[in-house]
Amino acid sequence: MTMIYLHVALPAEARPLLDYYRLRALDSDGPFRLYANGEMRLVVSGIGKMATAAAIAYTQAQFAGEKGPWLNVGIAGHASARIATPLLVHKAIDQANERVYYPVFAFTPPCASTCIYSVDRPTDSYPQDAACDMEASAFIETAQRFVPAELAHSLKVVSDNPHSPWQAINREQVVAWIGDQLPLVDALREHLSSLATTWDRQCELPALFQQSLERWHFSASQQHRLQRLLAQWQAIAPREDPWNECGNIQRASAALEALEARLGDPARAPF
Amino acid sequence: MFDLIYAEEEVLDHPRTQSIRARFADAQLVPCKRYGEVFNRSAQNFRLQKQRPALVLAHKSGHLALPTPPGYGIGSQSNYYFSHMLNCLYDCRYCFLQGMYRSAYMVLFVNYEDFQEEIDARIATSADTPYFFSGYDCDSLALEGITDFTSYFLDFFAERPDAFFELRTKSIRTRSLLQRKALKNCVVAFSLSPDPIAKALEHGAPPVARRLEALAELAARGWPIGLRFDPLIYHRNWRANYRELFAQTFARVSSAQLHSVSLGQFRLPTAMYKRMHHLYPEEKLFAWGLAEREGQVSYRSELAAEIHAFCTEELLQHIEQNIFFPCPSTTLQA
Repeated sequence: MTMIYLHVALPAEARPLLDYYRLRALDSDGPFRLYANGEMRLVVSGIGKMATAAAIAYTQAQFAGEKGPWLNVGIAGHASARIATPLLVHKAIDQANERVYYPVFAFTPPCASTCIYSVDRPTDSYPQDAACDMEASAFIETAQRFVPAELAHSLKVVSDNPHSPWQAINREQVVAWIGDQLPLVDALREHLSSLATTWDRQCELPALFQQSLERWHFSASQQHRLQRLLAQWQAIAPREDPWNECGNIQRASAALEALEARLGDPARAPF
Repeated sequence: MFDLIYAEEEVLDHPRTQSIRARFADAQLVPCKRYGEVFNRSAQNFRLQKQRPALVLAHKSGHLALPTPPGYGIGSQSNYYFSHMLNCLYDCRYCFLQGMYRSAYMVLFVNYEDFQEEIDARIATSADTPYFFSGYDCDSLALEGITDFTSYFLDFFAERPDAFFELRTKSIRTRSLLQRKALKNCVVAFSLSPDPIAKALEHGAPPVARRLEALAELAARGWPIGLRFDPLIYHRNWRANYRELFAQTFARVSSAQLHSVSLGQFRLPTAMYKRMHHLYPEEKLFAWGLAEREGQVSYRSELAAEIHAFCTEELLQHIEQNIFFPCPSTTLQA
């Protein structure tokens, strides 16, 4: 099962997600609040780009062996969109340095999308035809260091606009706005999970790699060759032991040569 | 077809951009400064992106028509290729584009006029009849309904009868060709593989039988036809399957209707091969019978030589030697 990572800035953004996915608190002594169930982790970073980057890096370090897609869920202001409108981010601009980040949609977005400016301080000045928040650019920049760009997305719910200023936002509203978008979060979770399955396959070590290392001593470069040859073998003969004709081989180099020879056996030609 | 269309700010007002935007009115437009911001970024994964590629509209400047590698050609010494698009609608597993780019987005360079200017400059300086190959980084016809590429370039080459133009394709979108008088200097070159290989490896491409129908119709209307058996894929019944493919093909098109026939080996630069194998570790094509040699991965010499010799012999039973152009390849050297 692929692990999914959720990131939120505020405890109020986390609340509906914790309840819906039945996530339980972990690691109460750490710098960030972490929650988990068997297939999902959620980190609450606090507000801002620095906190966001640190929280993602911290979470990845905590669960280094469990790679998975990242989804940011949070509120954002918007120049023209109505309050409570859900918007996926298709372009995030760090307003401080004007760096631009593009999430990649390898699925049909289940809702409308937007450009977003990530600012350092709350603002009443809304960029034209775009959203603004304080985390999205850092979220995308940092998450894309850990997973492919196709697996890091940001879902924003409009919380303020020129007619409804951010100063009026309260906790209950945030909980309700995010809570209303749980079906959308779930749809995104499914899309990302499906893509991550493909990615997992690309990252997997081939079967019998570890056992082969125990059987012969391979140098570092031989290990790369072994990994490639075993993956090739798995593609050609997934149910067959690659070493079943290599009983007396003593040296790693001879084992590799034997396996390479078997991979050119005309009887095993594909298609 | 496209959920998102990225467009360089520079081409937002270009008539071709406007026309494509109108066609995909529901697609989200995302402006960018340069297409490199969204295309081929290091964190991108070709295989994941290929599940739902976006369209990128851009302006290409410089290196618009480039010389082909030495030895590649179909009868001339002056050979150039140009790419109005990067990436393809189809998903052929042997295609080098998977290893060339990290991104599967389809980039369309809308400034056709600049390509034409550079082609004219190449024509002016060519020592003999120049050939211009499209369809190197994309399929020339597959997105014709969106790009109007052939309509535009056929008009251009119609006025330059001393230059040849090759459309390389697996597409059956030939309406833009059939609607006009055949051009003797435009070669419509179809890539063909035996049916089991097409089914296993040419995902999304029209079935071989449909391609043969399309090429027969074009040949009947007088369009010079190219046949491209490239790459040759070694597989279980390869002899029977290639023989059958050649028989089916030459039942549809006569030698007199052919401009050229070429053969190509399955070969990839090692770095590209590694990227492709990493993307598709379960793919049998990347697993069987391969060897690395001089920075290229290809079939082992004896396999490559065997399939090449067989296909050459079979083809020469149908065509004259003077229209046969086997691609040069180090894989055939022992």
